[in-house]
Amino acid sequence: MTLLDVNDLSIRYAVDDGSAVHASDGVDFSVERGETYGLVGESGCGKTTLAKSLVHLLDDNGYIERGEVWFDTTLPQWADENGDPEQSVIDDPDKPVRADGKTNLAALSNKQIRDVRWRDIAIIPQSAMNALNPVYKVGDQIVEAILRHEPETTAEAADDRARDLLERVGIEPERADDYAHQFSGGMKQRAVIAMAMACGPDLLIADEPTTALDVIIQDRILEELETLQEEFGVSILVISHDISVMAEICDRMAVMYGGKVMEAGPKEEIFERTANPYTLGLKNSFPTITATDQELVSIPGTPPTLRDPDDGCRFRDRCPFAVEECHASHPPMYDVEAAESTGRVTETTDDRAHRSACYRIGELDRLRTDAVNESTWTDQTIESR
Amino acid sequence: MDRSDDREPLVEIEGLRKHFDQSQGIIDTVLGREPQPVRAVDGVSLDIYRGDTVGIAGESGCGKTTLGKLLVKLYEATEGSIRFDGRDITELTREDEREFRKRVQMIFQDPFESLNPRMTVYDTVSEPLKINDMVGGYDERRARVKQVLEDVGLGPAEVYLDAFPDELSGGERQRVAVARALVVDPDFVVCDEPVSMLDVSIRAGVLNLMKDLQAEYDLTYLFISHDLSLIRYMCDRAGIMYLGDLVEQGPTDDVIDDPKHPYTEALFDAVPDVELGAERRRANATGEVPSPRNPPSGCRYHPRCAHIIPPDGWTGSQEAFRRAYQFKLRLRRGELDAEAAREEAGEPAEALVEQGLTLDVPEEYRSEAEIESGGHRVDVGSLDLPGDARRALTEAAEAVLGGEPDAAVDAVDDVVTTRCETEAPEPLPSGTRKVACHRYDDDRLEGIGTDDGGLSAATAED
Amino acid sequence: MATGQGDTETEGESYTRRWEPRLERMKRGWSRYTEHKIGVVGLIILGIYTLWAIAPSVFAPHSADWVAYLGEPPVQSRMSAEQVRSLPHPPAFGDPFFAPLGTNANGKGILSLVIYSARNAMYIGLAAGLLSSLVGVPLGLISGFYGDTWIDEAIQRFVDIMYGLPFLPFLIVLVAIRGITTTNIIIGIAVTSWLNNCITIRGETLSLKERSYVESAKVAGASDTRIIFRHIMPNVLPISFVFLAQDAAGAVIAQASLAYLGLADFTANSWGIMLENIKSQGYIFSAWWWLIPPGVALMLMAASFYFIGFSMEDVTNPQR
Repeated sequence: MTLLDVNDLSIRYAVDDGSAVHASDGVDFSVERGETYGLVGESGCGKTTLAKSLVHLLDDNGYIERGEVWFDTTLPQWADENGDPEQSVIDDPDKPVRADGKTNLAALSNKQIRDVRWRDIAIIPQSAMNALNPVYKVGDQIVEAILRHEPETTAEAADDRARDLLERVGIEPERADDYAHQFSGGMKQRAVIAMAMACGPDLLIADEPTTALDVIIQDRILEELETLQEEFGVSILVISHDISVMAEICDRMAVMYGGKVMEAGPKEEIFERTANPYTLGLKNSFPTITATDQELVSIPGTPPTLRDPDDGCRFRDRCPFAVEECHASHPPMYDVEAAESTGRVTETTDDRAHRSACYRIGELDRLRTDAVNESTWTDQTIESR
Repeated sequence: MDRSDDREPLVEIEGLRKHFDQSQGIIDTVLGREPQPVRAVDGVSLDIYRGDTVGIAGESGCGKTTLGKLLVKLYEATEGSIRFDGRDITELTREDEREFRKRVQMIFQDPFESLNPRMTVYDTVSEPLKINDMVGGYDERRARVKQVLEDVGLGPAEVYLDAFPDELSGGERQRVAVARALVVDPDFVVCDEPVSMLDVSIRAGVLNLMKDLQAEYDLTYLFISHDLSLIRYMCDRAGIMYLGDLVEQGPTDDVIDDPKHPYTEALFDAVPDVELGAERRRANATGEVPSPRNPPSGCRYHPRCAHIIPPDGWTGSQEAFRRAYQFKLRLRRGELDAEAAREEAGEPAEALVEQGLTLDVPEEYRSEAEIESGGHRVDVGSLDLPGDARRALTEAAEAVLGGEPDAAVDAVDDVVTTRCETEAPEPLPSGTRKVACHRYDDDRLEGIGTDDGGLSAATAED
Repeated sequence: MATGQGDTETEGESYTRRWEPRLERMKRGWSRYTEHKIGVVGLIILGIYTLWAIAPSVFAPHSADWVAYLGEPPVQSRMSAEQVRSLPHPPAFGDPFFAPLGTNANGKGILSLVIYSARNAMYIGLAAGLLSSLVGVPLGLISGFYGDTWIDEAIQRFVDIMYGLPFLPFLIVLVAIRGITTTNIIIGIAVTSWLNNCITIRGETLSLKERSYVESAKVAGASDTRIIFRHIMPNVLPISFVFLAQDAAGAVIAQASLAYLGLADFTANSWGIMLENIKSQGYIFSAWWWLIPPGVALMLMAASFYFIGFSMEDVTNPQR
């Protein structure tokens, strides 16, 4: 069952001079229950902005330009005794609730979204190492999170739960009485995960969960996330620039570039039947530990600034396969499956399918063969600077 | 790959140590507190041959950056020697030091920090020339800077000369940093994580550039990185550092494909891979890196090691010894929780032993009882623990419950011993490389060392 | 450096090309400065004060020696008792005399006094500000660069001792020994105002010297002096501008306060002395035209220094 369904979501940041940074532009994706979904992309591609916007945590100058974020939850005041939305709420055109029980988070007020944050959607922030307050005991911080979102819980029950959570992420419950500085890096990360799980959310947003960690600890944290998912059936939205981490933990993923989703679909499809020049380029530039004689090829040029971008494909300036129409408009998402099996170029609205934003989707074989050659990337002239 | 025969090493490092005294204040001195320095680099020996790219890999805090900075004389060594081109760099005359500064350069990690925001690209790149009085005259200098900028792929150079760093992208900045290092035409360049702050799609460009320039400028690189796949891509030889010391060094492919040191093995197991389908083994190492202020005795890796060596005459399994040793470590650190054990049903001493014998490792290396209890209990009966060891552990547990931690330590000290704890392993040649591990001490070398299955065979025991 | 090697013509040519980018940069800097309205306002105010300081006679309606009813010196006659009783006189525009901001109790024109005092205030502000920067910035740089060595320790202990020095008593003793002159008062102010400067610059330097561009200069073999003054100093200049402005503003106000307490060179024209006079002669509540102008002039000068300082910080800071 679909837990999160993001529809045509565009987020902008207002800039002093009146222009706007299009941090995310017409993004579509959906996350099933119990699934790990990855948003992968380079810095500045809009992946963190996108995740923050789901729970209204954008900076002051950021705003949702258009689009919907349908999430399977009901605000307490709109729910009947089963937790489903009342029929009158669904029928009310002013309330952003759909017949299937999903609520459009983008249309909620900042007060209403607070009921969703943590209880339904929890975030493991980017610098999780600094997310713990140094002057409170770690356990107390988890207790506070529980009490804030579930005021009916007694302090004692909350404390028991905090210790239990710590134990589940592999920290001895007695350590709940320690302060953050007494924890090692890996333990801090675990504690932050425990805190995120405090109110039993349905979706966990992990923003670069392992970036600051050493590889052996990263290995353990990835294992921890997998275990949590098995145990609680929580969906995880992982945001990372690290393709190898993504390859390991995601079920599905979306590759973002310049605020747009360039390619999305099941992980295996994206890695094995790559269907977008940008993803092909990324694969070329990424070293792996197992391959002996690899030739890395970088994508020439630099990522675009997203300040009032023009209509063309965001990647066209760096793309060796760009054609006339790429300059006119950004390509829609095409169905890769259909293009591969029948050679037909068809747009798709199915968020779950393997889809790619490239006008040359009909010539996939050629793109794939050419992309492996270094000269394809180096010979093009880039109008940079 | 045995290069030592036909080539002279460019850099010879021997027994190098660097200890940082952390602000020993007046109060500490008055109170007679022993200074406890951070042992950032602790006994590194390494030869770097001309034209090679030598990789240094390790986790953060292992001392790899300090090692790099010692090599370019940003720090003075506490002990040991560095010989560059045959001369000890700690004993250079003023004149020789000038010469040294021209031949050795460094590229830093963060291109947003390594360029002075107040200096233009021209100022930055020409600075080493000015400092060393290398090219006379403004015009010649400018021509030289232009040429180097074009060499590093920043052409046409005129566009960049008067730009400030904040006008450049990350990749361009790092190219400027490379140009600054190369403008004096050095022989040896220390590269400290040169691409870790760059975006993936740009990294390869900088790495390939560095490779190309190596041929063009006849360079020798020391390439420091925490990213093992980068080390594999860039380096001919690799050294793995752990807590200030090199645990293994040798040709990169050999080290990565067939790691000999247990730490190297764990490190490579921990790297996720983009190759799908292949089930990856997780890293078999307990806990986290201890503080370099007070590193473990003997082999520094022994408290985390999966292959810790039981004493002669140990009749149980190696895994049982590893667990027993964890018990001893917990005992010493005072981590055994007597309270929790008393609350358990059954014999408290038994519960304490069960608690102390657990391993903090990924699930695939845990016993069934451990997985069921969430890592807090083992089933002592299922372990192949010798009778005397088991008795010693129970005795120790009783002593802890009786409030006598010292007696508890004494109880296990004689039974649970290992030379990994008492003797520091020397880096000994083993095949194509050097490994600092007692498992490869000469007498054992015949048994496990040379065949490829050495470590995997040992893993299968677990 | 071996610049003498090239023949003179290309040398000259290369110098122009060499300076071109710098000029270009200054132009860019100026256009960035003008983006700050507040900075431009500060500059205009300070510009007016500067003109007053350079050529007060052009702007003031009378000379500083002009006296109401009697006019410019040399004066032969004396004021009648009635005339004396009318002083301080409120603003008058031609009848019985021209004094747009009135006069003080001695018959001096307030506007003229305010304008003639600008020179003294500018002098004290700039001199004290520069002096405290010239002492504070280098000492801060050196102290920070050699952080945790005896050099740093010595400078910091000295700073601590100076902090313990009570400002007013110190100044009173200083002028008592060396005499009440403007220069001595400047010295007195600068002696205490460089301390904050030094400590802030030291802190900044401590963090800057760990930057890898400084390490990179070391690797290239740069001497300590070169690192301090070429690589670190340009990066602390923005804050030192703020301090310069603050110190200048502080000095102008401090001098006025001192004058109010009677510690001033009373032969000089100064806003502080004007304020002290109105107090000692007891007209604070009756002669607003005498009270307000020097106060406002003082405030505007301090404000203009602040405005310029903050705008300069922004202009010289490339990562805004």
